[in-house]
Amino acid sequence: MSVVSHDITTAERRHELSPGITWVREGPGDPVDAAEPRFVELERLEPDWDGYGAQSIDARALRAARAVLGHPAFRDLPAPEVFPLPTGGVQLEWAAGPLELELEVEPGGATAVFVCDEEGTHYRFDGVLPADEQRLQLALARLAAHR
Amino acid sequence: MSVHDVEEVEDGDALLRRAPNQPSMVTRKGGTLRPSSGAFQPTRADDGVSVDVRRLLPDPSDPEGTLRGRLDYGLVELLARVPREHALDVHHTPQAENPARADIIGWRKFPREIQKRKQRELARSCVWVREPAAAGAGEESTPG
Repeated sequence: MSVVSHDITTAERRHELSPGITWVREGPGDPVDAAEPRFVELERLEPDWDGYGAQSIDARALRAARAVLGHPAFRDLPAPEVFPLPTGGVQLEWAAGPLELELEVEPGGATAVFVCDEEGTHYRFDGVLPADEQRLQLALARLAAHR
Repeated sequence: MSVHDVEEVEDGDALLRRAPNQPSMVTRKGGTLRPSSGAFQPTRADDGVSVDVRRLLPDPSDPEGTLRGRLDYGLVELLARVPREHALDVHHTPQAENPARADIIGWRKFPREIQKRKQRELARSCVWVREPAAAGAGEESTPG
């Protein structure tokens, strides 16, 4: 199966999720490569792909989702599942041990919503980016510890 | 064109929702197959997540009729009380071509992360009426 090569220019390698938060893709071999076929699939979705009136997937959300996977904080995690969303956003989902993390990159690519919980405990790490970045870092640390 | 009467959706009513297979909206975690929470996200156009009320189908004994020819899709079911237990509501919104249609509404009064958590809870509360076809299997027929 051939994989469409996403030719990242120097300018595109640095994607600002929001002012003050920069996600940098390091290049071939990083986790985004494993998810690339799925990103390509999502790029090609037509409106109403779910039969309920879903929007096609926002190009900026796809770019931001790719950039998220290139961030060092996500590199120690298992490969995520990637899902399209009816609003045109992209959802990344990780699971490790009792922990599950969902990160939704919203259309436009500048904001994100996340929920994380640990089965068998009361730990919940929910929030929005960029405001709750520290809470997301806590969730990532717990997820990485269970890998 | 006939107009269908709006009916009360009871807490014990079974609600049906399709789970697309191409692209897959299904995840397997902890050995359990379930829809992604994204399968319960309202579209931007309105505040509702569309479902079919099984009791109001032309043939309630054939829930897979709601697949409307999308033979590789999965189909999940949850009771109307579940979204209501999460401070949402379910309203019957019949259409001429679909007398069983309803909408799970009330999402936008919550912050976005709370909406996502509710979507997640609904996805985890579902049971499969029909699991999606294996990836790459099953042919899509022309939607009826």
